[in-house]
Amino acid sequence: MLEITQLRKTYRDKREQVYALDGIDLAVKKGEFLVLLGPSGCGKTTTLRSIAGLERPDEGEITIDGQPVYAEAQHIFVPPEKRPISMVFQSYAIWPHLSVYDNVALPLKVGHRRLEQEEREKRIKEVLALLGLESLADRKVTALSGGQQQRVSLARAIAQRPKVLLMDEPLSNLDYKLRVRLRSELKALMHQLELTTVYVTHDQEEALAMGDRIAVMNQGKLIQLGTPRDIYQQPLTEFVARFIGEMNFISGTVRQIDQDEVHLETALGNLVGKVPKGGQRPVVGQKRTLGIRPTDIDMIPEQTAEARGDQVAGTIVSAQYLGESIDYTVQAGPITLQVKTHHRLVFQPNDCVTLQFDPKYAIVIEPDDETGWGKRHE
Amino acid sequence: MNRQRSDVWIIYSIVVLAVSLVMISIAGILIASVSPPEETEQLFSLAHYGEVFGNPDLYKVIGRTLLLGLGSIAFMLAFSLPISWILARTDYKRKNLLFSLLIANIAIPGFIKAMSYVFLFNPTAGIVNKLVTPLVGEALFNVYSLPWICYLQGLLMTPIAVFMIYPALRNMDGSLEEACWTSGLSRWQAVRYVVFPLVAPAIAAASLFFFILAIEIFDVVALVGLPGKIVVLSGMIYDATHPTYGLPNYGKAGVLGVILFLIAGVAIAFYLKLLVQAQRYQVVGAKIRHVQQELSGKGKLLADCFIGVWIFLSFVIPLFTLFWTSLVPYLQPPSLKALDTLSFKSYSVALAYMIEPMKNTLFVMVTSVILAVVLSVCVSWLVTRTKSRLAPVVEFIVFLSIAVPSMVSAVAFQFIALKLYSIIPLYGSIVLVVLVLASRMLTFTTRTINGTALQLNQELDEAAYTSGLSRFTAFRKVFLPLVTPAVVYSAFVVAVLAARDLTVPLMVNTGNKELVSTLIYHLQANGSYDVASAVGFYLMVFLLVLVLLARRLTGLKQL
Repeated sequence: MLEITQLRKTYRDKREQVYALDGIDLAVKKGEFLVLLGPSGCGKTTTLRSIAGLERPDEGEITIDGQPVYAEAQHIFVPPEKRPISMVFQSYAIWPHLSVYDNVALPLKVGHRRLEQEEREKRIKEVLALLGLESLADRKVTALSGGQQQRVSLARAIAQRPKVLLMDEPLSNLDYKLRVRLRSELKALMHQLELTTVYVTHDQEEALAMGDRIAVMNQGKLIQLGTPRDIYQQPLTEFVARFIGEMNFISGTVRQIDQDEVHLETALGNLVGKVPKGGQRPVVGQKRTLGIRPTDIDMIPEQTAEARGDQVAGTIVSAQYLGESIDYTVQAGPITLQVKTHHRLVFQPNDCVTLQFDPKYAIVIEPDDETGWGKRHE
Repeated sequence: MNRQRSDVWIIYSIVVLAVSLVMISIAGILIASVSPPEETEQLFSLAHYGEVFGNPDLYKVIGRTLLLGLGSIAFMLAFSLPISWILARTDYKRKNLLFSLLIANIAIPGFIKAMSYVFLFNPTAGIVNKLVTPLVGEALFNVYSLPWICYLQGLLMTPIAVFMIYPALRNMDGSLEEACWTSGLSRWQAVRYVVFPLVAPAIAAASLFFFILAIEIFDVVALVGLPGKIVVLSGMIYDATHPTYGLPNYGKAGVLGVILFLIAGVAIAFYLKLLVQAQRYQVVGAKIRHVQQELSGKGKLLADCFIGVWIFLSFVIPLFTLFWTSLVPYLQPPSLKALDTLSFKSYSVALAYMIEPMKNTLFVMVTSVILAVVLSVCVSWLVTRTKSRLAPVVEFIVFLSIAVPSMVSAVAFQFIALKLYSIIPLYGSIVLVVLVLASRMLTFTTRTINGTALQLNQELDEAAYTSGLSRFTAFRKVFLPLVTPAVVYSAFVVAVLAARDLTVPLMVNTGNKELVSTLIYHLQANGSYDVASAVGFYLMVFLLVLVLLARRLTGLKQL
């Protein structure tokens, strides 16, 4: 439905050419909910605004439903009003001088997406009902709460029946509880309407909860594209691993490779992990990093330890009680590790423990300083 | 404890002074209008009302005054809307230059602009008319007409208007416009259905503000309206208080002042209503995204041309005309014969004439700055920092002064000063000029300082009190330093406006104490065009220095 090829855009920063977009390739399937995720300044909003036609890239191509809307080589640039898209803005951008009804109605009355009166009224009624806005139809939009304004903005965009719906951090101005509730509502709605959606956010939890697929971006590049499960469990780089959740990193040298299991020699002895899906298979003798999430390390009192997977001895340094879970800082040899346990598993500082690493959940990736990604975002 | 209490009373008494200044203007004009004619025993009478409303021409004069206001706004918008648009919503390259020119233009007083146009286009001796008469057989232009007054007032209001309209255009959230485009509306449809309805209230509010200014400033009417016998309310008030023979008729001036006050009051009521509407369109908490339209080649050319025309009309014409007239003994077009008579003598004559008036102008500037600033800082503190029940009342009264034209308060203060002459001999004193100017500026200075003060967190005061500071110490050590930027800014604005004002010093009889502005006016009225022009140049240089200094000190460096 949406194809982006080799999209590039530069801007000047103190005489230096900086890439806002550095060769983005992306394809979104019909009916898919794609999330663009990354830290601020990573290029996700620029990508979205380029799809909308609000910004003009320097190079590349954008095609919507087979029709090119932007192709630098052919000097094609379709202005936003003529693209089959609609957009939900971070600030909602609902027109403050119009009522709820008129906000939804204006694009269907004038402009390129106008409809005959009968059809228009039917469409507006449908959309207002869908979003539970019927009773507010005659209200001034400035008299609405943040959540209601957000709905109006969504209603306006959906009513235009776009081929691609673009959303720029639409939930970021709402409070946490409302945000969490709207996440699932929004996702269900998009699937019900079979809308192709590109959704920008910097909130990793939101991305995991909503996306059919997530595209993680950093410094103008697309770093990893995959399902939420892939992105969380099989991050390809330290940057992705750190940006989505927490991960312990232990560097080492490759000693042996058994099918998809990689044996690393580390400061904690021999540890085994897997190469993530789509990751580069290493060669014996290369430097690699072993990554494991704090929840994937099992921690047991020293004396009861029995041999299972890789075992490492450690000492509890400190504990942070978080209610549902406890975050422990554990010193294992020269390395400090983060371990997250169930709140019923209680240790005291200076307790000696045994840590078990399950090779199924440990990944072996290239260190970030070789790829140049991520270090700046520690 | 007692000491602290008495300290705070200093602030309160200054607030009382501010309120009474405004009240004196309003009460003064009302009392003057019902004052009995000479040599009657009555306490009050409606005789002056009878006299004024008995004049069959009154309604024509009121109509002409309204026309003057509307016409001036039309010209003002014709210049300032495109300029504001270029500054706020396009990627025009020479914005900083344009911004500098707008500021510099404030250094050319309105009456000097008007004077230069009179030199060029007056029907009997105007330079341009002298040039074209041999060619077409008659004088083509007659500057002594209502459209020219409107044009000149529009021109003089333009730079100030841009600074009022520009923020409205700039602060409209650009994503509202982008939302139009992503909703299938074309650029024009976006302007028609969204941008225009959103900025219209702010522009209309600014227009009403300038409507009041247009009917109250006397600078242009004095130079063009009086000689051209174009009678508007301000001119009538001036005539009533400056009769060729006999005593000033403050009763008649009072009635006319009441009429002017009522017109301004109605305009202010609409102004407030529109202001509320304009604010309602601001979605609270939303981030503003500034959108700048890329100008095409044609667009750039159009913008350059428009700004070029404005520069020609508001810089080139006044400056070149004055420079030329300052060099020749009488009004004449440039010619070989005229070149023989060129001399810079007028500049040395002007210097000699200027010494006393300059001292007076400096006195008026400094004292009105001090008065306006001290009053408004105290009012602002009361209004924004205390929970006093009187605060809204004080705020309203001070705001009301915006509806009191300076013509009106000039009449009111003079009338009161005359009545109280035996107690306080202020009548005919330059101090009256200061009082009128300062009370006229009060709305502006208070609002400017309020704007900064309202952004200061209330907890700053609470932190001072809980740290053991008394209220007065908190005022001095916390409030004052934090509002200083706004104070400096308003001080400069008051200084510049006081130095270039002709309306108030002309209205207030100051005996033989001239200000620089009245000196120029009287010189040109007596036909000393060369010396008037030379004094004008000195004044403009002085104002330019002041304006540049203000720009440096207040960080008004660029947009």
